[in-house]
Amino acid sequence: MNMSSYYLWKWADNNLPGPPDEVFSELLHGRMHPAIQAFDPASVIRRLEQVSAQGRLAGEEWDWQIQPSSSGRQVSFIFLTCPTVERYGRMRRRFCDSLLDLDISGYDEQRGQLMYCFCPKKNAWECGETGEVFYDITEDDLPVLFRRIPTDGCDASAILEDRRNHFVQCEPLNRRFTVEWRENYDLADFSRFGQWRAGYYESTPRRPRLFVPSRFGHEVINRDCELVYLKASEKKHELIRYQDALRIFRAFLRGGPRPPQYRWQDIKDELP
Amino acid sequence: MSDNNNLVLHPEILRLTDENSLLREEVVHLLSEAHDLVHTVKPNLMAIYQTKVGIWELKQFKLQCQAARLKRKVELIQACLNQGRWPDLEAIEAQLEEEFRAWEHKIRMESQRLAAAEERLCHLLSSEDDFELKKLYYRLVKKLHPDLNTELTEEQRRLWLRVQDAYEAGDIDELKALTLLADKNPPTLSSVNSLERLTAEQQTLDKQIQRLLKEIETIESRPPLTMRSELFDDGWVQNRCETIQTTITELQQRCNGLNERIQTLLKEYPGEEHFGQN
Repeated sequence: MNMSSYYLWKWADNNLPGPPDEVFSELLHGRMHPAIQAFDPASVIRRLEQVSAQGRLAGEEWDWQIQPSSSGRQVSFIFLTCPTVERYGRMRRRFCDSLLDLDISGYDEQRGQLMYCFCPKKNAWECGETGEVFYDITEDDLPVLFRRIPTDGCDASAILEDRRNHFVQCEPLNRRFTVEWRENYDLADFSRFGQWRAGYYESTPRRPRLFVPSRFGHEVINRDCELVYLKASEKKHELIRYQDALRIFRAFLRGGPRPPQYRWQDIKDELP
Repeated sequence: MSDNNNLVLHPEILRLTDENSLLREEVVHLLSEAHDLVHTVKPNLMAIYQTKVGIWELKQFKLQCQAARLKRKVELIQACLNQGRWPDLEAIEAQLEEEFRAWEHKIRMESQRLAAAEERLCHLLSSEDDFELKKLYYRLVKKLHPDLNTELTEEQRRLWLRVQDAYEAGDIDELKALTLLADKNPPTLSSVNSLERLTAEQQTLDKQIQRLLKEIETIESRPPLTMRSELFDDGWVQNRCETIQTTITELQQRCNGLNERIQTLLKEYPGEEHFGQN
């Protein structure tokens, strides 16, 4: 069983960016990064005790320490060692279920990135194929990031997630994109969410239609945090142009509602 | 007289302004992509080909030259012996040097290309620098690309040429400096946005997008861009190298055979003293 070490912290209630590497570096130097704040560890420890109790029965090793150890009710971070939380699978699901709604985040020391299950301070852009992550991006970064999405490959996609665990994701196909918008209504209950795919209205002018080859599909994370293949169900009008994908991602970054220029197909029931 | 800030714009003007701004983004996106395909992706793929396959092709070509040169040497020696003359090996080597000058030149050129490819791949930008470079370039394309800014001054045109040079050289500092200069003298934009003007602009941008899509399609339909998947397929690369290595082995055997033939020829005939003056 692979073990990893994690630093659990709480994002501050401000709008400052929190690049995980910088936050981690400050903590190592005994300083608090302005993007995080001290927090009461009691509820986190309680959840860790619950989640580790099941694991220990199966032979897993769990250990944690609050830091600074003498500070009692307000700590800077919790240092945790436990079985590795992989990108997909059971451990990720266990962390999501037990800790996500506590509004804490965590750093994976081995990977040098946020833990897979936690939310970024402002947002995070992740390329599906390469797994490369950019934190706290701005609207000016979007065009360059779109250029980094591979145009082919089985997992050519990108996802932009925010602190509420909402996300938009896109997948390129023949210089078009399918774009989906997800909103989570309750971080303690993953069944409560909405997910939509953007499409053009029939009346939208100047939109030449494209054929969607049936062999294309998506790899998606299901409700158990497992990676599964989902055959494409997009309609022709759901392959949108770059400029429209850009508009949707910008709207998401602004924290806005889904842009009304598009027809939003509810796809929640299509998800595994 | 009403203040400009109190002007209420027609909703259609607002819609078209928004649409055109996004169309401009798409043009910038495609312009940058076309530029990158030609100036970054293509040379990188060629460099990858050189270091993975080209290195074996060069060995093969060197041996082909060597075999051809040895074969010609055999012919020249044989010709001398047939004419009852002892072959002047120094003169033969000089003649071969002359005849194979073009081949030698090609070997030198290919060796230099291989060294340049290795050098290029050793100095690729880091992911962070690449991101920064592209971000700066994208901003400058918007401000200074002649396809998007038809009313550039001479100074801005010169600035654009410097931007391209700096981008191709991966010079982030120079691009930062050029961004400051470009911000000082932004291109003049017409302040009057009539419906007619916006509609005309939309049509122009649409045409540009179609043109750029075709241009990119053409670029991508030619090697080495058509070989992208193969170059990153270890199986394909291994197969290709093994085929070349087989040819190399055959060529080495051929060269050995020709060297033996030369030795035999020189041994079969009586020594230099038995031949007349050359």
